Amino acid sequence: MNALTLLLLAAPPAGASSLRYAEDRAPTVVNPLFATSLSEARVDELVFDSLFADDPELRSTGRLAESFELAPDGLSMVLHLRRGVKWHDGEDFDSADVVFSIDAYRSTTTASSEAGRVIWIKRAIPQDPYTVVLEFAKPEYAPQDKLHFKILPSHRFASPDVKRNDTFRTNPIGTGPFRLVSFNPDNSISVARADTHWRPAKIDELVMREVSDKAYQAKLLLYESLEALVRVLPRDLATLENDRKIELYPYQTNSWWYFGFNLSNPTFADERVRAALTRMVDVNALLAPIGTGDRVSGPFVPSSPFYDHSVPVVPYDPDGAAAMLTSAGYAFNGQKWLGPDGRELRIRLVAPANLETAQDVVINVQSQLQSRGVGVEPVFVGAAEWKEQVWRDRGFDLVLSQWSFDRNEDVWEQFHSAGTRNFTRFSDPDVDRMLTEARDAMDPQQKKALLRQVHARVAQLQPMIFLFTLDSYAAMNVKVKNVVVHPFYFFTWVSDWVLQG
Amino acid sequence: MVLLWSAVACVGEPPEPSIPETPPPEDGAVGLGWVGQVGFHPEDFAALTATHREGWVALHANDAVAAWEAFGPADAAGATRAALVEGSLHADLAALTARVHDTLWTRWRTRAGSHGAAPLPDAGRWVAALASVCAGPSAYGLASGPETAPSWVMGLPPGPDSGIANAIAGARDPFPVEADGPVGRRLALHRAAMEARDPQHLLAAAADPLFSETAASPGATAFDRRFWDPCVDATLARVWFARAADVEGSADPRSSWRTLPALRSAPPLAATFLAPWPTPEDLATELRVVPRFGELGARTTAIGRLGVSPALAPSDDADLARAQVRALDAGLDAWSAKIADQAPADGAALVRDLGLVRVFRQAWLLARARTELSAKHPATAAVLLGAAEDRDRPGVGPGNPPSLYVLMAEAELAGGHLREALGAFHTVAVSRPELHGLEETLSDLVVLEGLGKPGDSKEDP
Repeated sequence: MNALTLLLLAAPPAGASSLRYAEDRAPTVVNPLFATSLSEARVDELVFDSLFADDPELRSTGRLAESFELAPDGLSMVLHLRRGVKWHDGEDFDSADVVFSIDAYRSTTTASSEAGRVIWIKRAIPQDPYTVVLEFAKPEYAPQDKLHFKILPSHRFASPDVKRNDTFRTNPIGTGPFRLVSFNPDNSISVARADTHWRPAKIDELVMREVSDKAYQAKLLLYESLEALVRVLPRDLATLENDRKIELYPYQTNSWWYFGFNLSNPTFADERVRAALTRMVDVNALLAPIGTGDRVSGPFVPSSPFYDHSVPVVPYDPDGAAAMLTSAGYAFNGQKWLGPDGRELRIRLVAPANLETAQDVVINVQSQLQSRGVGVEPVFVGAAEWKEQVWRDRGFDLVLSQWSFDRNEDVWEQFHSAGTRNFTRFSDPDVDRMLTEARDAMDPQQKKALLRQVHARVAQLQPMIFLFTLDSYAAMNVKVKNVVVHPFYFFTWVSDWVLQG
Repeated sequence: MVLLWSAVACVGEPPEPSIPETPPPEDGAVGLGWVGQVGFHPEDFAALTATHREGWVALHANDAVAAWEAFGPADAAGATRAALVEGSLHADLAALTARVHDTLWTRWRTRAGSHGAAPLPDAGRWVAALASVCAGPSAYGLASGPETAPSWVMGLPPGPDSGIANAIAGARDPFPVEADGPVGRRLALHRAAMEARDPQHLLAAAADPLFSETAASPGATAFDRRFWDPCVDATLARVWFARAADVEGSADPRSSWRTLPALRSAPPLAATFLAPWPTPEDLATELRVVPRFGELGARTTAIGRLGVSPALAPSDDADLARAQVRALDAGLDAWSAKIADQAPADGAALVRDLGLVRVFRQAWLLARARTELSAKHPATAAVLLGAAEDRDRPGVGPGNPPSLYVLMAEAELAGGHLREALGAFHTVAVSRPELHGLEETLSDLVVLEGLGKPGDSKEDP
């Protein structure tokens, strides 16, 4: 640990309670409209509030909404907003903010990745400063369960058409239990308790540190230079567990790692090429350095209700891969695979920069594929460039990433042809139909059957090399008390946490 | 000894759990119950395992069925212990089944017909009725129990199982009723299993759904609808407890596990080895008071010697539970050091190589977690069970008994964490095909809760 790091991780001023936690990658934006990563969602959870949120038993409870009435036909609801709520700049929260937020999420100019969260709301009508009527496209049973998106300050924006590079992203104003104090050059973020919050937190400040090396994260926690890690690798569990100053908090994240093909590239639009490359990758060898985990054969984790256990994982089969490439018109010249046009089969593999786990996986798979005659050009991309290069431009042949899903495990955005998270540009009419039907299903067994068919169909068509899922644990110093971790958003109940000693 | 649960009220902050000083290890040869007995008297261990060693090996590896088969009728104490362990597993599964079904059918019925969910099919009502019958006394604060069973069968169309429906409607035991429908045929297997004290036929049938039909509606993709027998584990628990009674020739089906000779009068180590109760004296005390077998050992006075209060916490407090685990581990560390330092070399090696302190710790945490669940403390139970898991050897096997994950699922479910319950249960269901039905039923509940809700997803590199 060098002197600079020690300085950066210095203890807070005496008397103030400060919880320092590590993220693999710092958020690049603090604006719920454009949150695409879990690290961004976690900071949003600190700074912003929503109309409703989960309570610790995962039932919707009012936050910015105090109460509501649902019409008997389920086509509208009246929301009564909490009074006396202040934005972090001192302005009053009111119904205009709710209406603005829904419009901003919905705006095609904003092009929010979260637009799907309001698509079911036909209209939002302010009745008075503390009453909003929502009208729905279809009857709703429990609309409060769908009103967990974050509310934004209307007074801060000229219109609901919000630009991605609006300065709000690094100077956010929310109504959450913490206000952003600084976005620092070292990518750390400091937030301080918002004393005007309707339910003030008990910790004075939180500091997010970007520490991309997982082993180093564990050391910092053991040395008490951090109080919390949001995600521990399986290989580090034993070390942390044996330290009596550390508590482990398991939580269910429904996440899986994958390599995604760019199907708009003619090379990878060929199913045989994808199938061959999948069989050239020894996934077990990629997993071994990380620790224990489960292979996945499709877009759900094995414990998911939607996982089709009759679909096997694709085996490591380099000989089978060679036969498939040959059938696709490729020829092996003794060292490299050459396509029908005589050009070398080469892959531009985009992966997150500065992430130890991703680097290990990329170097490993590069070695595997190159030993089989397939060239790999790794490109490590920083967090800001990632949103442009991957989300916007699809500038890759293969992308390495991980998806995490909340307990509803909705993969519509990833695999529907109109999905906003469909990096691979996957499109299959059967999958489109089944995904839409599953979303509308009102019978649990019907929904389960449909999504298991999605699993099977996506596994068959292989837009991705599905890799593995890892168990999720947070780790915290025992000084952090009253901790309950939200399985997806992590900090939902941070107001109850206490830092002792 | 300062009880762990003393708390100091402090405005605005949770009370600091008071952790007593770890008492010094006892002088004397025996030390920590059976663990100390093995350490200081390895000859007792040799005598215990001189015959039917494979049975004890299997019990140590968390395979009670293999242990039962290895012990056979010749080792009454071992066979009884194995049967009780397997019976306790099925009792845990029956408790989980009751909670899963209670939650599923209650919520489905509430949502059905409104904008929330499709109507409850008749097959679902049959299963809900049977689940209510098999739930037993409402020790878990469930909405359903035998008294609610009639409400589920009201209005069911007549059919070959009508006699069973009538029995349920009349609050009579449906199991003796003979009928030709799917329910009647399945109940016949339950009767056969009990009469023969043999779980095999019922286990084989459990892998098949009780009801299976194709559901189709205009414009929608047809799908297979399956509902599963909710009474399997309640019957299997009774079968295994009856087997335990049968070992020493007791023909009285009312024999209770409380009076079984293997527990009351077996040689000391045979009654305690691998158990959560440290000594025969602890066992004798507990046999008089605990409500179910799986809770034996949870509140022994012996555990107080490790700095853990025998009494349950006054409230469901995860932080207190964590402090309790730390106190337990500090106490166990002291005992381990004592045994390593002072026991004969071969005894100390046995304790170390067999991981007996870890085994005792895990067994005690499970017994305690069951007790906390009975006391409606799911957050406490979840902490204890998380601490009990051997993460170096995750999953069911020598590191972790199947009950661990069954209880984890129940704790999560009782706390409202349905998806987490499914995650925990999947870990045990992958190793036991007869649990497929319960896993599917739990997954129906998870999906029911998510109907109509778009999910959130984020990148997490």
